[in-house]
Amino acid sequence: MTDAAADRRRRLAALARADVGLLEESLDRLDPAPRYDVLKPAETGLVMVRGRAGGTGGQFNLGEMTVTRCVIRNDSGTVGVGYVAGRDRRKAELVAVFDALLQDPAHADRLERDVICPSERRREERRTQMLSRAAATRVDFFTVVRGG
Amino acid sequence: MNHAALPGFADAVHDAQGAFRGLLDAMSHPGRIVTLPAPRAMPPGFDAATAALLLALCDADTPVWLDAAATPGAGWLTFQTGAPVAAEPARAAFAVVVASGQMPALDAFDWGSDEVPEASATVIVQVAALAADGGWTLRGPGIATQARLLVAGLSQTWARDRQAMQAAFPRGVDVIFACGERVAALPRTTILEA
Repeated sequence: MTDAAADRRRRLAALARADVGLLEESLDRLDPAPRYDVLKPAETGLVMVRGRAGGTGGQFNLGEMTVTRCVIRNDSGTVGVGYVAGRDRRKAELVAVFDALLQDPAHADRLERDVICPSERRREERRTQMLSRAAATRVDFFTVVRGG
Repeated sequence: MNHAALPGFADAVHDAQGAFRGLLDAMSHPGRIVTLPAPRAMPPGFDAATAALLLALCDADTPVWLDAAATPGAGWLTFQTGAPVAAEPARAAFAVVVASGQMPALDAFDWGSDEVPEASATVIVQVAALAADGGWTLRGPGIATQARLLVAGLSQTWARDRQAMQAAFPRGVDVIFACGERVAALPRTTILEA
């Protein structure tokens, strides 16, 4: 995968996890407001989530999850896609709008700072919080080696 | 210009249902000319009705064969419907013929088998003109006595080729003619009298 593709994947992940309020606010702050055409209106469907036991085991189907997706094209012709968990159609459209904007170097740095970074930071905070809560209840088991 | 990134129907659900309903009307009354809802944009070379039929009918389970003139629409088709593009006409569930004069012979497409005749291909042929007066005389199911259908832009041998197919019934292909926003159908049950 090229760097650009990896970067887009990271940004799309951050956008998909971002709070819809943050996305709305960031869009309102943009001047001029981006103009775009919806190529594929937001639609909700199911995606099979696959897992692999122990990282080396055979692939198995964990279950289906609800995903909403949307494709837009902005007035400079850039196509943006949005895939979000759940049924929030507006959020899928917003993610697609930001995906298109972030492919334009003129907007990329500012949006990276205003949208992507806060979203990634919040996710990291939530992760740390969850880990520390789990760590507090950690029990270490050990087996006394006999006859060693 | 990226031809794949074109919008589909303005109202994905209702327009696709409208196109399906229109096609049902055309198929159940062979020779009847029906107007379908038009998508917001079409790939180069595609008429509105051709694009509307593909949007309403195709999905990931229906391989579509495109003739050389329809190839620029491959990206659009995959983007909008998820349908795979078939390399051979014989392996396609749907076929799109934009250059109607150079259409392959009907037996190039999948006719199904006597056990599963419904597994055959449906061929969408984009033609220069469609009219309900003059041209062929049609008889068969869905037609009270007889219907007339004039199709412009087919090769000289097309009608003979179609008549030869009638002997293989229930095997055969169903043909939909598209012109602008209008379609007319020629299902395999219809007897064509030139």
